Amino acid sequence: MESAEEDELPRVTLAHLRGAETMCRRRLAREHAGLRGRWSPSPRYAVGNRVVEDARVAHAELRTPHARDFPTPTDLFPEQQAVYRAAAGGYVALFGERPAVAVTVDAWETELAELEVRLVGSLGLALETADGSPELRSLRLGVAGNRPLIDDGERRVLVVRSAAWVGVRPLRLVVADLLAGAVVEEELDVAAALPEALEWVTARVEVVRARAADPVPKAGAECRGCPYVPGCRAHEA
Amino acid sequence: MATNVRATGRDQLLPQIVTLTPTAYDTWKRCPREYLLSHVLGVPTSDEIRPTDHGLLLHELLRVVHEQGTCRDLDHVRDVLAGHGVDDQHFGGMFERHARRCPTDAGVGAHEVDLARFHRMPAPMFMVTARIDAIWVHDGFLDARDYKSGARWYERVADDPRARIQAFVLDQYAQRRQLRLRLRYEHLAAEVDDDPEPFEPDDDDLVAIEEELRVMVAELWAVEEWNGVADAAVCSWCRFRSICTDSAAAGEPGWPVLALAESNERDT
Repeated sequence: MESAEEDELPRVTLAHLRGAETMCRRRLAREHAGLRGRWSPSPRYAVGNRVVEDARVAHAELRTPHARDFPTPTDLFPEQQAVYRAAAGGYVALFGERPAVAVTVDAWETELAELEVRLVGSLGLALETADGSPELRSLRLGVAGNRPLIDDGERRVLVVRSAAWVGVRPLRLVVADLLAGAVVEEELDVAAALPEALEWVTARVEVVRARAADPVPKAGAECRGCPYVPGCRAHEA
Repeated sequence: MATNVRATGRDQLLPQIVTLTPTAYDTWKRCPREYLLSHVLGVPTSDEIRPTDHGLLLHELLRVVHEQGTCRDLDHVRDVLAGHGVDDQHFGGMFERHARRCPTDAGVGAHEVDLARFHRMPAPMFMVTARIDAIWVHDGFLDARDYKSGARWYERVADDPRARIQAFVLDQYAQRRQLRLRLRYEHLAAEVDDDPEPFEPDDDDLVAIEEELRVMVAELWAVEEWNGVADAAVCSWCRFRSICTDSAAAGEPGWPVLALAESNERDT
């Protein structure tokens, strides 16, 4: 049940890097090892993933996105369709005058050979504009509470994950909440920011490893959606 | 042997181990469609009902006051309130009313405690999690408190579906410490005179709650149509009322981006 690909490096996510000290160490250890447990895809990401994929297709060539690039996904529930339409409208409203073309970058993970880990998580839409400048669009659908659209931890991860693609060019990072219409735009000097970002990731990976090495379970809020509950001694009768 | 009927296609919608929280259970009782949208699909809300900042701030203040001192120390309370920019009559009054009921001098306590309890057999499996505002141990009791900043809706805590979830997770916590469970709502708003009757579940109550939750999860797996209640009184408070297919209070979603998109269309 708790299978992992044998030749894959251990994985770390932004959530691991941010919160290793407070996470359940058993769950952290299993996620770090890449064990699947009773994992199943969550329907919670269906709308967001569809918007990103349709936007990526719209940018298969260098051009602006149009409303027709976002056909309503009739396989989703009507309320999800309403969210999709609003988010697609938001994408066109925010980016409809900015031609860009999608580039081939692994959208889900980056291997950090020296650290012997895979940095896993959505990169967002990796694009290049008409003059060849790299632009990363990180799309959200409703940000809870008063949280900022992006924080230092996520910025560092994006720097590390985009470094090979961006090289020495300045990266335009655009984080957009497609329902709120809120946008944060930054120009990042990825090459200059990379050493500090890698230093942070390295230090945090060490914390993840240390915590994962002593996988004592902790029953609590993280048990919600945990794929490793069967066999967990925190839940023995 | 309990039967566990599964509706077609549900395997792709529900996780193998369904999680219940006090809010999720309350939502299910109120409207299955709202449960689907909020707790299964994670649809972003289209409508706000009321700001929750006030309640969140009150909980945070109570946590800080107890972690750094005691609610009996008026200077300390005033310092904490001032530090959060709310040293006023409203919050001061809430802390006065709280201090009269707080067992802080009688035992040890903890705030914002996350608990989880797993039900394995009989099928279906489910996980229950809950965040408890405060837990005090005194006089052989595990005295759990749920701070309320709004109106009182129940005469007895036992009648609130959310309390039944809380009791289920707290029971295991109490049993392991050989304590008797008492769950109490502390209503701190000036307009609420009395708290509802506390819930001190016995073994029979807890067996009944576990079965009640098991049946609910079995119903969840068997749902073919996620029908909403379509009741104007319920829908008018729903955070999905603008987009829900069964809404009896339909309207326009409040997503700000819609106005932006409309404005851009007009300009072009």
